[in-house]
Amino acid sequence: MKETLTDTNLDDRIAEAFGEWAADGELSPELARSLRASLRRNTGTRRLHAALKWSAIAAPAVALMLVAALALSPVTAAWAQQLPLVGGLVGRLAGMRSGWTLAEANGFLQDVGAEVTANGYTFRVDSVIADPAETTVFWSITGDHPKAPDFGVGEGVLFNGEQFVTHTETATDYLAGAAIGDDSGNVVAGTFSCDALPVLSGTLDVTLTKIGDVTGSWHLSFAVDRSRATGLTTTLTSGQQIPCAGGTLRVDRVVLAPTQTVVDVSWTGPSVADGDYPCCPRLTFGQVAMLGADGAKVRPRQMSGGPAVETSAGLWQSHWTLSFDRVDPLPETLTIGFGGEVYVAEETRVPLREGQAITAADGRSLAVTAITGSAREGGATIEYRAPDQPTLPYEDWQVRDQSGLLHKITDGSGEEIDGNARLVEHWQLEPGSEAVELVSAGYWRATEFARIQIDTHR
Amino acid sequence: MGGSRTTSGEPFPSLARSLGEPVQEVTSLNETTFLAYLKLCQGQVYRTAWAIVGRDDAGDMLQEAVAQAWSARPTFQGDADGFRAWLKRIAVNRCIDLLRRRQRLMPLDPQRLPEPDPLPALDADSPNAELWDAVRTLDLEHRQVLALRYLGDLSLEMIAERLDLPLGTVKSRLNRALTRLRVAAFASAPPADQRRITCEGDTD
Repeated sequence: MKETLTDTNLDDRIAEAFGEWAADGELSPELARSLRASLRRNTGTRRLHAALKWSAIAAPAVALMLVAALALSPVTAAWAQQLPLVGGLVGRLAGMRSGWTLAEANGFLQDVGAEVTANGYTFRVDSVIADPAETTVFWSITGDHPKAPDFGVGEGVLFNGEQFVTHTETATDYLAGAAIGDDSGNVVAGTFSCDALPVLSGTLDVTLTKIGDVTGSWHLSFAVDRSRATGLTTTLTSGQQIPCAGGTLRVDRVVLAPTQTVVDVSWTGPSVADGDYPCCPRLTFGQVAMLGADGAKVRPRQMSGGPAVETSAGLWQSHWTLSFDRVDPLPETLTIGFGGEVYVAEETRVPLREGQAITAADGRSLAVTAITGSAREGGATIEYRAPDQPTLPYEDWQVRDQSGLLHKITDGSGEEIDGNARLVEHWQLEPGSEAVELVSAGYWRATEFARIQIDTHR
Repeated sequence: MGGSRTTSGEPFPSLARSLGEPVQEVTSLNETTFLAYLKLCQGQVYRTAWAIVGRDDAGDMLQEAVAQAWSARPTFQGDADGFRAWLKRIAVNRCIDLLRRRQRLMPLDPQRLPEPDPLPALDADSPNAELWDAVRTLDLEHRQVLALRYLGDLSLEMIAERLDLPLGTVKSRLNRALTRLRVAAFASAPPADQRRITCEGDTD
């Protein structure tokens, strides 16, 4: 007789273990004090996380900067006095961009103090930080239960009368639930960040046409200048490129701004699956590492990228913008390691027959153990020994039809027991098409699949 | 407990009660009750967030959840246990929001860098200590699924939907995690008379 611990029992024990661990939870004295203070006091607390991370000098500096920004508006200040969580708000703002500390220290946090009132709402821009990497506007709206506006990328924000915004990042969610947003407050405040100013200085126009359900026109126009920050910025048009995943990975630009380091990267290469499957690598945030002096990792801040687009040449192109903390000191050679997942087209092909077994390129065996349904609309069970190494070659299956066209799997599931993986993949083809072959055009996970070095002193 | 304040001036009432002690149901939360309830469960909610998003952001998630709960406290009706469940649910939702932002904007915290501060161990006397040690060895991606499933009480379908992940991916991550945990579970299984036993040949 063989004893087996059932999954039901395992379920219970995992839940029990998690519950036990959570129940033992206590806040550190510092965290408890911060939380208590943020609830009980009207001013002066820092963001919890920031309190743990920031230097004793940096945190008060930023907090002061932002308190000052809020205090510019008497209405805002009065409101802030009444908020139990205003400390959290200030700290939260401070935590959004550590580079704001440097902006203040280097004198390019620009006070604006412009406001306009219409239809019961006052829209105010308190200050702006502009450098060659980004433009950040600190704004607030006071009135009867204001809602955060949508700054958008259209005509809402103009520079010297021209549209220039291609992307925005409006930071308002940190206010949600802080008793100042939709529920009970009379002020909503936040930041929005967008593209860098096209030229050093000019006039920024910000127009809101709707606040909540109230339509109107709230237009502010004010001078902005990024010349001071630009003087402290170096832009490298790297052009450095290497072969990667069947295409070319290229560092298009590196901006060494005072507040951050921005890297534009692109990949261009072929497609598979009848153009339906761009096979560009997938960068994984946290596995794209910038190495500064002495190989020290520069802290990553964010990564963005649009979907792969097909070029006129029939290739696919993907673009990412990565930002990191300021690199200080700047080494002669900046190294960027790219990690994530790399597409390997048609790495494994298996004729669609029950019992069919193949050996993959890396020596692993794989078998089709069951087939259900029909060749047009059916499913297959695939079993293989799961790899120990961190690669996932068998997780992105397609089927090839009798005409050679590849089709996506419509539904799939998988499980892994004792190192044995079992996947069940389903397909549904158009009438007249029949699946004849399973193809794993999978992504392989790689800690680093490419590395580019950039000479910073050219 | 009504709306009475402590006379010591202590921001939080000195709470003798424990989570297991009955608490008078209230129709809505006043400030004192809110703080009392919070003190009872803040550590638990913090650790829930920690398991899902990592220690670095857990404090923020707790503060955001508390802020949201504070804002919505007039709408809450229930006792301390209800408050704990309510706050945990808010915190889990905030954590999911953060995970989604990480996926979309991939901001600060690198999801796949080595966990700088792994989960603390359970008490060595706990029957789940070894199982928990296996949980601690999981990478964040797999641990998140486990935490959302077992601490957040979310179904796999819900996890997939909320994180914009294919259901198969979520299942795969869970299964990979469970595979590792099975070994630990065997190693640390409680006495046989406390387990559900199945035997080869059983038809049940």
